[in-house]
Amino acid sequence: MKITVKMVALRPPSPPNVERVINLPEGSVVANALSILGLAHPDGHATLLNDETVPAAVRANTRLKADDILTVFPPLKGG
Amino acid sequence: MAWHEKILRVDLTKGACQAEPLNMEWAEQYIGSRGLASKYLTEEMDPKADPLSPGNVLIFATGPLTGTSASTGGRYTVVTKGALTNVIACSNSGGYWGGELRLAGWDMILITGKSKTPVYLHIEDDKAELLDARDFIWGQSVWETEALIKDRHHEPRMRVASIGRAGETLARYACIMNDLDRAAGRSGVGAVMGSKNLKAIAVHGTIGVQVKDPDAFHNAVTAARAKLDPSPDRAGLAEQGTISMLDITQTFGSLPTRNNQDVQFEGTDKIGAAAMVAKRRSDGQPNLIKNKACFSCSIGCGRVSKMDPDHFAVKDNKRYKNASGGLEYESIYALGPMVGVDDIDAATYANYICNEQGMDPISFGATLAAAMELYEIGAITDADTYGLKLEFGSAEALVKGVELAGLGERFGADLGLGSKRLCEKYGHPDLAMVAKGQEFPGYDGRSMQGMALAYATSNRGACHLKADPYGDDFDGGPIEGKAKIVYNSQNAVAAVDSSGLCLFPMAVWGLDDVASQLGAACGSDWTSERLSEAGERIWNLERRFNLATGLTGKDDTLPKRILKEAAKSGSGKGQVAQLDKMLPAYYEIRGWNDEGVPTTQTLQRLSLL
Repeated sequence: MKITVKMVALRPPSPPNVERVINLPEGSVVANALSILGLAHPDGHATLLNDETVPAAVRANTRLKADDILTVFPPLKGG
Repeated sequence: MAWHEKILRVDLTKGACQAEPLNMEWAEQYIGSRGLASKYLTEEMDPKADPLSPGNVLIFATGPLTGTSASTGGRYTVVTKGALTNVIACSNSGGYWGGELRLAGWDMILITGKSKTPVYLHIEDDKAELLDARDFIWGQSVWETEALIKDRHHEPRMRVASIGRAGETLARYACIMNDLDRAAGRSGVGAVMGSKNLKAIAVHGTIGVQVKDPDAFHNAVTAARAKLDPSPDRAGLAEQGTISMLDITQTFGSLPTRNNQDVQFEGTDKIGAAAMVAKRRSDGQPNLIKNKACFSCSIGCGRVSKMDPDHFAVKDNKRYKNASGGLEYESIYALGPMVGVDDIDAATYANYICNEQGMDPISFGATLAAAMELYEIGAITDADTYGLKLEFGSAEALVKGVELAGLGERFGADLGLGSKRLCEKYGHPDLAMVAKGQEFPGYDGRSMQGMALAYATSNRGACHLKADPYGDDFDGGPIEGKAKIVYNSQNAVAAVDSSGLCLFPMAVWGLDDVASQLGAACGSDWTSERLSEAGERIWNLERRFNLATGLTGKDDTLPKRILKEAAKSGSGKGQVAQLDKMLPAYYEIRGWNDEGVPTTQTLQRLSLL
C-alpha cells in the first residue's frame, strides 16, 4: 500500500520540508514507516497520522492504511 | 568564587550610586539572576506599588555563570513589577551587556526611586555615575542612543542597555534593549525604566570574572560543550534559528492566527525557514544573511537579516536597508500569522522598528491583532485610527502600526496599551489573547494543552519560556500527565534562568550539566536535585509576591476563546483548553490550596517561612 509521508522542519543539511510517497506491506504500523525514513533517531520525532497525534508509545500498534498521510517532525522547543 | 559579591545600588531620587555587599546567604538559596533578584525585589518593595511609580524597584541581575566561559554564559535578567501585567516581571536577555557588567566587577544593579530629569548610568569598572540624558539621548531611539554614548565616552567596546521612544512614552510592553537587537523583552520592563527617567545603562569592564576552581570549571565546561557542540540540536539552531518552529506549529495546528481565530495560517510558505533563505528577484539576496552568537555562546542562533531594498516600507529610507537583527519564531508569529500578514519584509521591518524603539514584538503583534479584530467587528473605527485601515493581512497596517506604536503617536498610543487595556477600552475584554495581562507567544493552547497550563500558571503572564511542555504536547501526551510536566519544567527553567545560562543548551543538557559548571564556578555543592529545589523555591517566591499584589487563583486562567471556542483545524480540531482538569492537579502537585495559595507546609519545606 502507498502512504504519503510529510517530513517537516528537518534539520540541516536536509531541506526543511519534504513530502514523498512510500510503499509498505499491508498491515504495517506507524513504527514500520518511521524505520525506513532514514532518520537518525526515529523515536525522537513526533508524528501525526491524518492530522491526529500518534504518541510514541502506540506507534508499534497503530495500523496504517492506504492513502494515509503520516507527518513527522522533530519536537523542537520554543525560544 | 564566581561572584564579585558586589551590588550597585542606585537611588535615582537622590542621584546616588553606592556599592554594597551581595547577600551570599540568599545566593545559596536563589542561585542568582532571576531567583536572587526576585528575592531582593520581595524584600525591597511594596508589592502593591504602581509599577510606573517611584516605589517600583528595577533590578538588573547576572547569574554566577554570566561572564564566564560556560557556553551561553552571557545572560542577565531584569526583575521588577511589570508595567504590562502588574505582577512580577523577569525578562531575560543575551547579547554582551550582562557579561560586560560582570567584567566590570558587578553582580547586580538595584535601582530605586525616580530621577527628576532624564539620566543615564555610566559604569567603568568600579566607577559608577549618573549623567544627564537631556539634550543628548532622551528622545532618541535605541540605536542612536548606543552610538551617541559610545561616541561621547570614546569607548566603542562599551555595552549599552537602553530604552527607545516606546519606553519613554510608557508603552506598556516596552523592552530594555542591549547590543542593538537583544532584548529584555517581556512584561513592560522598559516602561518601568522610562517611568524612572532612566534612559540607559552603559558599562565597560576590564576586571573580569574569577571562578572558584579553574581546573574543575574548565573540565566541566569542556564536558558540557562536548555534548552540546556536535549535537544536531545545536546545528539546527545555528542554521535556522528558532524559525523552524513555524513549520511545526503550522503542521500541528497550534499557530495562533488572526488573534487566535484560527490555528493554521495559509501564508507560512512565504515567511518560514525556507522563505528566509530564498533569494529575492530584486537583488538576488536572501532575507537571512548570517547568524551570530551572544557572549560565550557556542550555538549562535541569532539572525542577521537584510530587507528587500525595493520593499515599500524601506525603498525611500536608506536607514533600514542595512543588515540588522532578523526574525525569530516568536517575532514572525506575532508579525505574521497573528496579524494575518504573509509579507516577510514587512515583518522584518516591523521587527527592526521594535528593536529600534524598544518594543516587545510578541506583545506589539498580538495587540495589533486584537485591534484588527476590534476593527473587523466595528468596535474600532477609522475615526479612532485616524484613517488607518486595520485589516487582517494588511502589510501596510503592520508597517504603519509599528511606526506609530514605536513613537506613541495617534493610534499608536492605543496600541501601546497592550491587548488587555486596549480591548477593555473598546468594550470587548474577551478579545485580548492574554494571561495575567501578557500577550500569548506563538502557541495555541487548544492543541498544546501543556502550553495552555503553562500560560495560565506562569508567574509573569503568558510565556513560552517558563515551562517545557513541548515534547509531551507534540507527542499527544495525556491530560493527566500535564500538571507534573509543567511543574517539573517550571522548576528546572527557574534554576537555569538563575544560573546566567541560556535555555537553549537544555535541548541537550540536563540539570546535572548545569550543576557541574555552577559547582566548579562557585565552590558550592550544586546537584540537579538541589537546582530543582531552588527552582521550586524561586517559583513559590514569585507566586507569593504576585499574591501580595492582589492576584488570586482566578487569575490563573485563559481567554474565553481558548476555553470555550473549539479549534477549527489541526491536531486539536474540535478541542478547547482543558484547564479545568489540569489546574486542580497542578495546585496539588505544587502544594498549594484550592485557591492557588502555597500551604504553610510547602513554604516551610522550601525554607520560605
